[in-house]
Amino acid sequence: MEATKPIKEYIINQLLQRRDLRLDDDTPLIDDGYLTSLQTVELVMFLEEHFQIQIEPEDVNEEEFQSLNSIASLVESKRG
Amino acid sequence: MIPQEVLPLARPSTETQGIARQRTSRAVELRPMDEGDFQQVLNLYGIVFGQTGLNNFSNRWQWAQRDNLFPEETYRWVLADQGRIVGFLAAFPLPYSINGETVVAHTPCDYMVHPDYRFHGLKLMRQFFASCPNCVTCDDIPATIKVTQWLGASLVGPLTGYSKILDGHIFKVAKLPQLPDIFYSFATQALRLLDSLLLVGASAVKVERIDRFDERFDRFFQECSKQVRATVTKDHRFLNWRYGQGSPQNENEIVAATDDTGELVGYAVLYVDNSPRVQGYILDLLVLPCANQKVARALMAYAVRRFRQRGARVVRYFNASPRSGPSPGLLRWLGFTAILGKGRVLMVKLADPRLAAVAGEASNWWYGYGDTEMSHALT
Repeated sequence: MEATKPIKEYIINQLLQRRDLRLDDDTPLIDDGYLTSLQTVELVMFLEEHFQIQIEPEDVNEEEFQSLNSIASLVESKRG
Repeated sequence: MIPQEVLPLARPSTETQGIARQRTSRAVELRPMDEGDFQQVLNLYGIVFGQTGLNNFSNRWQWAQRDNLFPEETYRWVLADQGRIVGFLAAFPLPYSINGETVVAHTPCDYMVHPDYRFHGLKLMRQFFASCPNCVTCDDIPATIKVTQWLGASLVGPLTGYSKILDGHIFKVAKLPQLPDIFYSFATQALRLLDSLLLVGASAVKVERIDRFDERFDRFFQECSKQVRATVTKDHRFLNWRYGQGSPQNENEIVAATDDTGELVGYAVLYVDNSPRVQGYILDLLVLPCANQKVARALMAYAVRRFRQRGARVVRYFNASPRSGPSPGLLRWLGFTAILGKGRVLMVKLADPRLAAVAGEASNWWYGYGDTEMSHALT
């Protein structure tokens, strides 16, 4: 999905600050411990600003934020 | 609140061979805490915060269980992964006086999440805000501040902390190059001499130690709340609970400043901890807004003398605004310096927009060390 690339770049470069890290689109971000609660909130703020969407607190759950693919799907659904 | 997002564990890279971390189960449930969960919560506390605070946590727990102003409105939730407790959060209610109205607001307390489950901590905070329409919290952890604001709390403003060194030996405990003991002793004597000059004349107001908070404190608080528009409701019932026999800081001193009729014009609650630094805390200090800084000065001077007598090496104090306490200028004159960079901020969320508007202004608040969950962590 189109949204996947900027999300991946933000997570690697800004959130985790690990430019050497490789994430697959289906890497389990939560189960593998990449996303803490703070990082998730920061990611949500990035998604809202970058994609001009509104994410509700109830959208922030394991299913929607488990992987780059699922996050991108959420973004696309919010774009309408 | 004092959450601790511990340093990240080594994250697995898809490129590296090595020890695969156990993946967390997706069946992490959020539920109310059962009595039988306490030992696991205690164990989790040790994992997240370390072993040194365990006794303190356990004591506070007993206090909240046995002696609670609002037992029916105290909530505790856990995160559980197949029966294993991996997260905890309590919502502790306190009475507040906001614009003359009494409001019960909750403070999130003892937030703790196992390092392998840090994403799921959001569930706890979301549950807190879903269950508690009113929230007052003070925090200094950037992660928590951000999450709390994201979930709807408004930033009121920073709390300014002050400290005053009483004994040069405190620098021996700090991570500084060690000097011969004579230097620390000399510094201590110099500080003592300085205080003897600074505190001259501060005893013009009658200040004395008392045994308990009596009904005078109700009248005193009524007067204060006419001008202090947002504060914990500090009537004698609350104060006797907060600093009474069961309190984590029950070994405190209550100091009252009175006028010619014996009525209160101010009070302070003093506490010395058991840490190696031997820190003195002014947990609470309130003076009548109409009283001039003479009362605040008298109370602070008494506090400094008492802390020195009890062997404290440093005095700590903070408040949200100086409306009913010592002014920044007075504090500087008495040898207190502002503690920079600690980043404690006050945040509120109130269901009533009228009250939210009042509570949203930092200058309306009286809020001190003893009002925060952080004070409960004092040893």
